[in-house]
Amino acid sequence: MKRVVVGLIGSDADARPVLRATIEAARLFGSDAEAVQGRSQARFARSRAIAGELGVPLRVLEPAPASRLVAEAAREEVTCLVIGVPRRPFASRDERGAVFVDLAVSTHKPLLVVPPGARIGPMRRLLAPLDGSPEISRALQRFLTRVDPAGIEIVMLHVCSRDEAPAFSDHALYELEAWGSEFLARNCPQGRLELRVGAPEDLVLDVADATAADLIVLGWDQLPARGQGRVVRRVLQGAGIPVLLLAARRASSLAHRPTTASVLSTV
Amino acid sequence: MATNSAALAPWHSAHAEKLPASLDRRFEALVFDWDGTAVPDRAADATVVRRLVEDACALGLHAAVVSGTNVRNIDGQLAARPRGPGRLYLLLNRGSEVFHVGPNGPRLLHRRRATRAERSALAGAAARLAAELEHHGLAVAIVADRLNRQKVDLIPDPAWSDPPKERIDELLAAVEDRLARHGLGGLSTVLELAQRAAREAGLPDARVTTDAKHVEIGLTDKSDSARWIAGELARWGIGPRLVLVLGDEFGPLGGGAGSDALMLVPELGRATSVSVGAEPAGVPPGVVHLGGGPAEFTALLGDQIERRRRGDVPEIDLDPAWTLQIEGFDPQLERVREALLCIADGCIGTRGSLVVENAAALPLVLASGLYDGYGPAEELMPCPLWAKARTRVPERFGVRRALDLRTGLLRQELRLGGDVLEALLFSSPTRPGLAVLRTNGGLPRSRPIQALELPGTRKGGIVRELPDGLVHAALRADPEGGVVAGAVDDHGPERLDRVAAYAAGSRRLPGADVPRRRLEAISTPRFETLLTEHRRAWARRWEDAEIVIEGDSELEFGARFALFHLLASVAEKGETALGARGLSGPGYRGHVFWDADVFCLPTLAATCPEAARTVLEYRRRRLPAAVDYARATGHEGARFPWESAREGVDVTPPTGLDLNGETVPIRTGDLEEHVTADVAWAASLYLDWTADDAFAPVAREFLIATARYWASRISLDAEGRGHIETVIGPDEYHEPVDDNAFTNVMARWNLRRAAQEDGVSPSERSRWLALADALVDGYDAATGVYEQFAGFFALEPLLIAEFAPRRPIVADVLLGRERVARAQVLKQADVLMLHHLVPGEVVPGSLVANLDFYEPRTAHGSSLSPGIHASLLARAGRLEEAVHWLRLASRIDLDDIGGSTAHGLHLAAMGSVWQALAFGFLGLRADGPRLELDPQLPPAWRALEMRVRFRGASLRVRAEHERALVWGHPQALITLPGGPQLQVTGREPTVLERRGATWSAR
Repeated sequence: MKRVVVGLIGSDADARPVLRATIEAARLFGSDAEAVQGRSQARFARSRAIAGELGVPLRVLEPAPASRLVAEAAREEVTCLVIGVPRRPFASRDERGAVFVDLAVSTHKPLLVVPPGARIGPMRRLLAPLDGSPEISRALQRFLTRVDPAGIEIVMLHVCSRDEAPAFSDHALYELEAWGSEFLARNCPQGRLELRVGAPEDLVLDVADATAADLIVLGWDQLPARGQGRVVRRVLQGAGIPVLLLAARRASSLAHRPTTASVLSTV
Repeated sequence: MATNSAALAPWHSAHAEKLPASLDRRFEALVFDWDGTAVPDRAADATVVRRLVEDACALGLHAAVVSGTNVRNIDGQLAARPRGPGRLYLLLNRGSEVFHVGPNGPRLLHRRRATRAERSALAGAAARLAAELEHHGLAVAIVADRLNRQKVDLIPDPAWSDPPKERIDELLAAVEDRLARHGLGGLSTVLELAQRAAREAGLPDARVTTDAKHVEIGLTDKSDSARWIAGELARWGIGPRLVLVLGDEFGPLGGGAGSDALMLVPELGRATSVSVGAEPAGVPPGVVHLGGGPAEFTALLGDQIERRRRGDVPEIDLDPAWTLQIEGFDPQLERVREALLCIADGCIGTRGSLVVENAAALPLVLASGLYDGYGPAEELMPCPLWAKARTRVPERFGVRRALDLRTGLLRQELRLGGDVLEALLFSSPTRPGLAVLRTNGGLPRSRPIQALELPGTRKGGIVRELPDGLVHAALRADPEGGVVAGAVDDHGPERLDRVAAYAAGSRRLPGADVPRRRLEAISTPRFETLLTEHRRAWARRWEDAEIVIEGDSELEFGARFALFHLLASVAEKGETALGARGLSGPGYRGHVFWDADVFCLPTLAATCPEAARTVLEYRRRRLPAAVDYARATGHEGARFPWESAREGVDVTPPTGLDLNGETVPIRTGDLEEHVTADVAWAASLYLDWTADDAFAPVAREFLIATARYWASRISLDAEGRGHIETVIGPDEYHEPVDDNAFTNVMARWNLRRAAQEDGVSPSERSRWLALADALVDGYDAATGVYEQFAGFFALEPLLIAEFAPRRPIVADVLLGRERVARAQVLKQADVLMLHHLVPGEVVPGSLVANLDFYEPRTAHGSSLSPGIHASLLARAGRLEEAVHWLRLASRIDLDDIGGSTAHGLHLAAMGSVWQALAFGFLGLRADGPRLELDPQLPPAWRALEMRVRFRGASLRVRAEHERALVWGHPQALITLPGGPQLQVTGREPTVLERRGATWSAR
């Protein structure tokens, strides 16, 4: 049976939003929800009570899940791992931050991150920032094959830096129609596209608000200090909704952006 | 529905299995020697060859007999009377005569006629040779009754009076022995003596050959035949790779080259050459030696017939200078490639999708002028699809696609394991609306697909298969019109031949029987008939349009690619609504902009005037709508809309989204009024280039109606200066503006040009001329720079060339819309467009100052910009920069530089490429009845050669660094800077030499 597993970590003051996010994620992935926690951890009883109240079975892991979640994620039946994090998880020195970093840079499974104070609800509108690299697009497409498409709306976001401005825009409407339609065809034909100009790390949260997204789906190369890593850091720092991280191998090119000088492989 | 299996006698070629790989394919023409190759000798029964040649021609194969003898001998023996579509030629008398043989027998096409002096020289040469040989004691005889040649018989012995080919070894030995006995060394010595005798007689270029018995001194030989047939086949769209040359004497003979080696001319350099002769001394490199004599020849001819009967997919020439080849399948790039490989006939366009379904495809068939929807949402309607042959293949497969620009043929080859599916597709300009597909082979688990399929985005159409096998489709447009299509599939064991006929009506749905009637009008064999016509039609187009850039093959290809798609997008009859992306994709909804009039039309007027006329006809039929538009906006005359579709009313969308997702107003529809003068300019240019008297009244109507618009649009200030306020110029980064130089000067040109027309009252003429003189144009005499619009010079000076990370770039993304609006940053040529379009309306010598000022301020964020700048930079002599921008313009689609090629090709940019070459580098410009020529050649180019049509004449213009050559047929007047006015005519070029800045006739 497929499972979405949430790791309830150490000083997690309130497991309720994390468990609720787990339930929504389980719906998204068509899986069962399950919580894991160490018996020795603080507030174990409290967490077990909330899990029981929300109908999420809680499995005891010994030693504590902090050291076991990477292995847990690797289990075949696990479709997604869920974890609550502090506001600046990459910089945090507490246990949740450390566990998050361990997981985020190593797991190949989708990792649902629940920032403090996140609004938790049905995950119907998904905002997926795409940089146009094939790796990130493939990660998103893989994810979309694993979820139930019914009732989901995918909003793609491509943020074009000023230096990456297109070569031509002959017409304010048609050119963008053509470019956007081709971007979708290359990256995720079933979605719609939002375009912005600027730095993605500055704009993802704005667009999430503007589009009333329920979930941000972020592909990244699992390198926190560069590329999409910068975006992940900024998004986790400010997100008011859960963020699903998708592991993608390091982006080597931007061939999925409809601007390329290699249309003709052989002439 | 009847299918196209021709009722021809079967021919089994059992020996095909042992053919070398180079022969294991379909050829389109056979060029062959007669005596010894096709028949054993001139007395042999040629019935089998006759039947084969007639069968081959009936299946579209062209055949050419090359022989030294005359038509009586060859036609008497062959007696073929082919009915086509393949053609039979007799290239006789050692290259001096050419006949075409049809159902009524041979007809002379060409004869080399010797001058009296040449005849005398030939006789003198033969006599000198005979005397020289007789001096050695060798008795010889002169045979003088041959066309353009004289023969010296080296062995006038009755025993060797007419030796058969199979005794050539004996003959050669006898002759060599005879020569040796007289101290002459051998045949090679005699050949040298003959060459010397010819030179001494005044024939430095004599053709000296031998058949062992004779030495012949002539004006022509088989190489002339080979060159002639290579040229003729090219005129029929048959490139050398598609030609099979057959002979029996390629190897050396008596120290000289074998007679058939003369057929190995450079023009047939990529042909496959085969010897069926004994070839005792071997064959030259590159010639396949099969031996076997005439029996092998008939087997090879039979094999070619069999390939056609079983439906082999024809090859294309694969000349890299003319072929867009794309290897492999990449779902990310597939839609771009489909646009690049689009085939169109001016009536329908079909994207170059694979014939096998695939998820990455955006297959589309568009009919010119068939719009669906209302107002800004009006768009070209997707039509039923005809080019899908097979269902999806689950596995990854190999793909090779090639589009032959010379013939408009798209060939596909799909491989999966050992299975191969080949396909050829074309959409023929000879029968616009007809589309043809042949496939052969198959792929596993891929099933055939019905001949027509409704496009996935459309509802409400019908597709049904009728009892006779015709598949019929109909699709209505909203609010009116629609398309009907009929297609028939003819299946062989491995082959599928599909012909689809489309009829589109923008006002009403054409009758259901129209496609059927069009299909029934095609003679059998349908595929071969249509293919032959199609190749011929494209070859003819290029005869008036060819572009050669010696020294820059990449640019040459890019220019040909651009011109190919331009020519393909436009019909030659009726009207053409030439949308910004032609028929290659859904981009720009098929709306018609100034792109059609200013960027595409000049190219068409100079290469295919009939097509240019249809572009103007679209405007003519919408002149009433333009009159209404002017009236509705409170003006007189006619105002053409910025974006136009079915009705000719403005269909510009009122808003769009910017890259920040914010709604922005699109004001071009209201304010980009210069299009009205642009249409008038196009009509005038067309007249200048074509002298089409029938169009003159239409042009007059355009010019007068548009002049009236400007006359009512211009306002005069207190000082009497004329202004045009609140407009948008070609640089669309600034809006609205007053007194845009481009708009004002184009209006001025429009008024002055219309004032020259008959039918204008004196008072109106005077008023127009006064208004034209009163219009401000922003020219600053101190700097020589035109101010782009009132207040432009006061904007923030910003040299985008210096700080942009690259150009072209969309400056309003780079800098933001507000900043761009406040700065001297241009999207594209604005003032400079005047120097390009109406150089007579700007101050002489002002080009350089304006280039220096505006080019560094131009982001080139429009695809229309690079080509025009290339043209102007060339005029200014800044050739390196000119080539840079021209190369970029030529690669916009090939490299998908703008990222939007998937939605269609940038036709206006393609037109600008041609204009840059013709107007910029060659310096062509119509000046009344004369064509001005003022070449500027970049150092890296050896020559630029273009073919154009000018006022009824076909011109070939070749510019080299120090000279120019012009061929004209029947005749044309040309001028060059500082040179005389010249009339060019005839086969020989007029040669002009550069002397500093001026030119003079040699």
